[in-house]
Amino acid sequence: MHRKQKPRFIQEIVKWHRTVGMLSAAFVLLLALTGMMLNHTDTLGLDQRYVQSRALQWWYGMVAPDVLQSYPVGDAWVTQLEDRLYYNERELGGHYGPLQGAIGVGDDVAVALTDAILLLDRQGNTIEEIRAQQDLLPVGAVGEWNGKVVVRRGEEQLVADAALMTWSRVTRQKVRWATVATPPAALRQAIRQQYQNKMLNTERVVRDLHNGRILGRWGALLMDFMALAFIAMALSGAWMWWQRRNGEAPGGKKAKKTTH
Amino acid sequence: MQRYFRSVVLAILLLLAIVPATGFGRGVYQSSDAFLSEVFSGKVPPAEVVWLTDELQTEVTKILGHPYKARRIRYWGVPGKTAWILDEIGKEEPITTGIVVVGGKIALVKILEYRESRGGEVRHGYFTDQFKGAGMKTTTDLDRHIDGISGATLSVNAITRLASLALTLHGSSRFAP
Repeated sequence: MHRKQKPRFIQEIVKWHRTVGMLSAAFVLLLALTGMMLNHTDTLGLDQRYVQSRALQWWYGMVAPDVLQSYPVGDAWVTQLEDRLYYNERELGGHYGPLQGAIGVGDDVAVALTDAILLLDRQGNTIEEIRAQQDLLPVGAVGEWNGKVVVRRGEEQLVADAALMTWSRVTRQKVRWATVATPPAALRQAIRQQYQNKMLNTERVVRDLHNGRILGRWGALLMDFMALAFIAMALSGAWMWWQRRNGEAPGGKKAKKTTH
Repeated sequence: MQRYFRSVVLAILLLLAIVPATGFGRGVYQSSDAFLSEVFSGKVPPAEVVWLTDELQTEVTKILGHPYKARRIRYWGVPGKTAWILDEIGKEEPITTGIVVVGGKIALVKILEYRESRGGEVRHGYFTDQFKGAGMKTTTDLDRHIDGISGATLSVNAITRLASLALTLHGSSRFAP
């Protein structure tokens, strides 16, 4: 009885092995290609390349926040969106703590953040980024007094020399503090667009393709299912090889001996 | 069966030992003020700056692989000795590193703040001590090989670049011999 059922069962396994093998091929290719890419992320610069596709940005739900903090400096604007900083439309690069103010003094612009003070020229080029001077940080506000940069740190006011090299305490003076303002709509839109275009890097997309998470939770489950299928394929393949090696075709018949 | 069980337990223990070593490490390890105070035995000299002229910026660009973002770099020094607090991005976040150069050779490398989520092992002495006594072989490379750390390659490269940068900047400082 058992002998009659076994070949049918085995034939089913062979059939299953072939069908699942065909279905798996696409996933194996996907995993191999994305795996190789992830192994060479730095060489390929995947983390430095950003996905500009609106569809993919939408799929990931990536929309630049609308909350900007801006300070006018003459005709220019210093704006922060999340941890990024912009001089007009130009991103200054790097990640910064909350913007506390920006003020133009002479040919320079002093930008105060909680974790740094930036000294820019009027074109937005960074002259210096002061992070090392701990006695200045965190800055609460920045202003101008008598043609010099003044920062407020807690209850203290500190005034810089012309080169912003040394700072000294001053008693309360009539300081012109930087004040928040709303930048023009076109500038807001341009900054938001720039920000959005740097939200999603290629590495993340490739990684999500690799682990299935590009389709969310169901994608990860699909990859789990395929992983189980690969395991089953490996076991059934090994089993079929073993059957052939012992001179019996997986279908229960004697395998034909072939010469190479 | 018992043998297999032992192997599995051993593998799990190995994993538990490796995982904390490859991750974490984010944090402030020493403030800039404390670093400078330590380097100059409490008598920190006034800050100086090196201006990145076009020529120097070209050299710096070769070392870092990108231009330095600012036009001047602050440092502290006494004759023959300079201290630098420099930032360089490992993968995504800047690593703040304090470097002391004495007589054209690295005397100390210290990670002051590490912000990346992985690769924080570069803060340990077994890595930073490799730089002691290093000078420049060429205009871009150190005169010695720095052993990497598995899983922290980008951070290792960033610190190595900063060491070369500090040596080059020292040469342009007013305290260079």
